[in-house]
Amino acid sequence: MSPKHIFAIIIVLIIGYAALDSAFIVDERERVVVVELGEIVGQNYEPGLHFKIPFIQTVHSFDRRIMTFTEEIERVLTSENKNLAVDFYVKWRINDTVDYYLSTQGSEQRTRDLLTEIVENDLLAEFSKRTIRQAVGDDRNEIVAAVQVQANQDAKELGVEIADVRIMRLDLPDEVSESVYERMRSERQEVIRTLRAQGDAAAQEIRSDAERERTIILAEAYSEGQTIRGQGDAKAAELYANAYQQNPTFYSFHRSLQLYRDALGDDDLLLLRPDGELFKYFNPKPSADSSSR
Amino acid sequence: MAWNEPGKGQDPWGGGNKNNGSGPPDLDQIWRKLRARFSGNNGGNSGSNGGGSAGGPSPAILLFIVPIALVVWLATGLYVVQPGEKGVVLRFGNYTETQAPGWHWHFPYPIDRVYKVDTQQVRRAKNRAVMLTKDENIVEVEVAVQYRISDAMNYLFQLREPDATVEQVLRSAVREIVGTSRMNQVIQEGVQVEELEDRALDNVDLKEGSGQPAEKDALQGVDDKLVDEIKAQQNAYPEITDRSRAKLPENVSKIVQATLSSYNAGINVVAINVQYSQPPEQVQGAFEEAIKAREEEERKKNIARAYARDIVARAQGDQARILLDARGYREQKVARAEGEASRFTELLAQYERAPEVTRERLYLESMGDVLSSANLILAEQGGGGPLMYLPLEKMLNDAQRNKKVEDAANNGVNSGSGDDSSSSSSSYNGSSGGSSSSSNDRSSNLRSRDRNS
Repeated sequence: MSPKHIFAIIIVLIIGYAALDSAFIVDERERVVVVELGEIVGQNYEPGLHFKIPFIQTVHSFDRRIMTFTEEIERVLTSENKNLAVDFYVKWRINDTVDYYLSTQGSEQRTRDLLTEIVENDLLAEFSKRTIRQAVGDDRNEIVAAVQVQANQDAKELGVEIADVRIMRLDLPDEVSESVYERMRSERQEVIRTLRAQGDAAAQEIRSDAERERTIILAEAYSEGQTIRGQGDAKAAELYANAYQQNPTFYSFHRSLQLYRDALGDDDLLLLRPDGELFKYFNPKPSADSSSR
Repeated sequence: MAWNEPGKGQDPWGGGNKNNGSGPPDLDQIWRKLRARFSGNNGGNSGSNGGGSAGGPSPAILLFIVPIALVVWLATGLYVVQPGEKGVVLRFGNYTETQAPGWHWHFPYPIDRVYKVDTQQVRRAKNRAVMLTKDENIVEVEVAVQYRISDAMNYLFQLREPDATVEQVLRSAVREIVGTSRMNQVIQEGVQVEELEDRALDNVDLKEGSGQPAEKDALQGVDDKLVDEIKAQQNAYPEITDRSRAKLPENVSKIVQATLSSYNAGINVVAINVQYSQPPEQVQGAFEEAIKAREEEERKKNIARAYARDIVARAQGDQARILLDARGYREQKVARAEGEASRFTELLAQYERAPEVTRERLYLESMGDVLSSANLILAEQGGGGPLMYLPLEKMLNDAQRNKKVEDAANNGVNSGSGDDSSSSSSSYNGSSGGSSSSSNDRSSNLRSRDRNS
């Protein structure tokens, strides 16, 4: 291969490279600045194919999309001087490519570090104004909104917009957690005792109520039973009275005889005087006839 | 950390950005260089072989190779968009169109590029963590989100790490909802025990007012414009009103969706499932015990109810028995009375026909019956007669052995006092005026027997 050939190839390569280097593609997902000798000469390119002067101008492209970084802060002091552990994420995007390029040289890592500092600072400030209760609960959104707005002021100088700040984790320090667990346990104990007492009370009530009911039922039954018996007695008395009133004397006689018959049983020992009416013939006396009459 | 991992969420172009975005042209250039070198070598070879025109490939070979290369190059533009996918076409990085499923062709690299995004597939992210509730209890919650890409363009162009973002947003949303709900609004129903009171508010360590008084106006020191901005941002946020347990997934879903929409993430939340929400391990024992206590309470009540039913049923049985007994008694009484009354009435009819004879007959009949079965002692007690020895002790002992001692004479006296109208009994009375002391003793004895029977 002659030097002539080699020379021709080199020329071709240089021309080819220059041709390639004079064009650049801007993707939908990119923002691009064109830098010429340290000076920004082009920005805000639409996505598509663009041209520049080869060799002299260089293209710096950055992500147009929303980017994320997450960060953990182990100790965040609240207003009552309690520590919280906070995880958060920050959604950010490049807003002004020129500012961004100038302030960070387009280094994502640097931007991230700067933003972390800014956001952490604001978060700590916001948390220090609130109690744990507020931070955990209702003020959470207020905190992140305030942080976002304030951090955006600083981030603006970096050409960056903070799209969102969110808290992903907010934990109590261990010793406080332990006291919370202890409290939860004691609350459960209270519930348990209450339940047991309630159970006993309810059972007692059910029992007493049933016993009361039983007493009432029996009393009513007794009352009704006695009434019925009384009716029976009354009816019987009426029947007896009606019958016996016809001849009370005879009733008395008749009934007495019945009584003797019933009352005096076998083997009873009777001590009699033979001067009764029964024995008037047994040992006749002159008075016997007259007395019988 | 996702953002730190090389390559993740970064397409090859993005990765090439460090080379000032000239990555693709670089490759292209190398390829061309190779081609150029290849053809150059070829030309050189042909030149040395044929000794013909130096510095270029022979036209015949060029004519052959170039069309083939062109065809092959164009053929690389063929692509298939699978069902459920969308093909997003970028020409020189600029979005041109979105293709439906099927065969398609695009200008080959480096002019066009196609990104296929599956918009049908349901993706999943989940998070499990221990977190604080509003009433400062700690709960453990696992939540899974199912989502789908609703807008392929936004999905590709808005967020660098859309899938990681879903997970982050989920974490934040769950914390937020749980942090603004009370424990009972979070944990599973089975684990819940009825609240006594909101006693957690007075808890030892964390209660409001311990430590420095909190400045409620946290925004002071920020100028008004910022306050307005912050408020505007909060207003854009979905309002959660119903914080009940049943609404928990819905509330999380609302926040996740609102947040993702604010990023234009092109992602739709399909469903949020709360897969686990219970008190943390450290206190689960206590919670289980509480559940047991609740069951025990029920059990106690049930036992008491069983007892109650039992005794009431028994009492009702007793009631029925008492009433039946009483009715039986009434019937019996009435029947007996009827019987006896009619017996008396019948007899009376006969008696009235012949009172004297009937009366005599009845008396003697009865006495006959009575005396025939009893032991008799006849003691004549004429005035001034010889003293009679009666071994009463022995007789009484005998009688006591039989447990029956009767005195017919005294009976006669008793009945006589019952109806004084009878003249015979009055004579009885008169005759018994001089009854011995012993017979008086016996009469008291008899009376006691009467009372007994």
